[in-house]
Amino acid sequence: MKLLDFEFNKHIELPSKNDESYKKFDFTRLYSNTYKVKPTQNQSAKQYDYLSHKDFYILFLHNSIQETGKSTLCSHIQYHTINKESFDSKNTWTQLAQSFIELDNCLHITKTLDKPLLIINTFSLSNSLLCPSLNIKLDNNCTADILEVFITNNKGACFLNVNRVFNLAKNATLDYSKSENLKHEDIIVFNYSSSFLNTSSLVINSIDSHCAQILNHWDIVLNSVDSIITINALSHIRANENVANIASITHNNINTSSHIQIKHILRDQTKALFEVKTKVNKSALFSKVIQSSTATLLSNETTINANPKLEIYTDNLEAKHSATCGNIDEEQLYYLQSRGITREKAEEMLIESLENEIFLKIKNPLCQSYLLWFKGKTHV
Amino acid sequence: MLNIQDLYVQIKDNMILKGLNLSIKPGEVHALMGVNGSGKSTLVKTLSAHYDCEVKKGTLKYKNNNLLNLDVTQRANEGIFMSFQNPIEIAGINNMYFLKTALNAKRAYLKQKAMNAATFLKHVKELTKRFSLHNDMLKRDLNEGFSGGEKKRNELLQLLVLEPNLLLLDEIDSGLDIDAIDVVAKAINSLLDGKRSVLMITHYERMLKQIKPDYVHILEGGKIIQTGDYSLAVKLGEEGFKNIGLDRGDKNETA
Repeated sequence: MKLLDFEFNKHIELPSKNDESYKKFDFTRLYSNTYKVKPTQNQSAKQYDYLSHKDFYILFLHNSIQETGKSTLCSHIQYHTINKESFDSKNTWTQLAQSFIELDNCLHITKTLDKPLLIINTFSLSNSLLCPSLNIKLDNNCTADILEVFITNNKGACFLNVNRVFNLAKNATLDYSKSENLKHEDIIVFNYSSSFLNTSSLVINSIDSHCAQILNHWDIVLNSVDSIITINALSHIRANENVANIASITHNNINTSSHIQIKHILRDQTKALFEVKTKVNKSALFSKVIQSSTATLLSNETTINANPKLEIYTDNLEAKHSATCGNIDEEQLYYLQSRGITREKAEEMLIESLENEIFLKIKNPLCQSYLLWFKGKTHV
Repeated sequence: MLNIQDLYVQIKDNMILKGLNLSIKPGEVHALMGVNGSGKSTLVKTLSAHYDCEVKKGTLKYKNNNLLNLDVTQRANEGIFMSFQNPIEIAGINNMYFLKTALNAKRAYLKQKAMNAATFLKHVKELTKRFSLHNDMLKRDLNEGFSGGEKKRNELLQLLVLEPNLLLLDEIDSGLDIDAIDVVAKAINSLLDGKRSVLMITHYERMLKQIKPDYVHILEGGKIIQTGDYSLAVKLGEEGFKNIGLDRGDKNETA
């Protein structure tokens, strides 16, 4: 069945080119693929054992169901399911996921974690639509590093519509990183939303590559004093893949801060969309807003549409936005070549250097090195 | 080693080198001096196939081969090394990784076995110890956040690792204090085995005192107008360009 033909669409209007945010988004592939809604095929997760690592707490989810034998949690990491709670979101993809699931999965962290938590999501379903959802809650004064990875091993295209909701209590700090290794024909949509209490801080590091279509949708409301959201993202795509980074950030209280930095590395006939809108309301005095999109275009056929937008209703704030695109720096390339390195290898090194800038933003060294390994860049 | 005949080189619309002739034999040290904008940097950049420099006329022979048939990478692997006047910063590329990649690129070009990480590390640490260079440089990203002096020392380290045949030194001593100039001179002298040749651009007599050039050339208006031995450099140091009939202009320093 095609996405537009599913029953849940009666109440949900899926995005189209008529929507302002999606004007430059290519829906062809997303809406032309056919998917099974309730797949029955369920292979073992044994083949994914290599993803576990002793230095992490592990939450292992196979086809959205916890593999208790492979999970190693502790008393202050509670994973459970609850009845679905109503959740008001303007994001259609979030609504779609909500209409699809029957129970909410919750991850509740009650104390500061002494080592990072690795959430491994594996999928062995073919031609399927899945909506893995997870509410992540941190109690007062908690600090945690979470690394989440998504892996598919299916025949035929898979569509993952991933919902993540962050609830951070007072003085909580969460460093969250995610990445995926999917089949080339797969499509993935990430929907992140968050609410904050006083002085809490959320950092999202997003590393995306090699997937037919990737859509990141960040919907963040900074309702509380001193709350901070930082998003560092890397989108490195090739062939005819396309990526969209769409964010809606609202500042509602004083001294709130949002910093979005997205790097695009675009090859071949790829297409990218950066659509970030930050609204600073009158009540959000002394807010700090940064939006930045950089694109390195490695082909004449690739395109990026970057729209950093600011909507400001207060007088006293610090805000800046930028969108740049260009090729690899010719002088840097020449410098490497002048030391005997071939042009191809020099380009590869420079691209890697751009990627490394985002990898290095992952503060926890274990998460950083695991992710480098996961993306095939080094060995743990 | 190097033979340049009637060389004309253009950068954008400006003809910088206009009929330059120069011959460097194995083991020789040549110093290039001249007022700003006379074409010193353009010459070494042309020899290293910089994309700005367009050869309009003339012949360039290196080890009896036509240098113009080789691209920048091939020239480097054939043993031509240009130390940059302003080394480029590249965040995200570890210096050690860069050095190892460059060395193994050269070894691959020469059909030699790649040097493994442990052997390479040992080799580089011996070099840094011998020439009083900081190991800290190896851990950092390539020239990123380096001071002017650190960048020049890093150029020196690359030179020592790659052991080129023709050293093109474009003001490798600028930005260095007196002690550091001595270290650079010591390192370059250590490479002079009677087979390697040097073409150096410098404004400092201290450097020339320590790496005594066999020939000193004065470049003016895109060609060599005077050639002498070390005593010419001494004379320039004492009397300046003006007293030998040349004015220091305000032309582009990088030309």
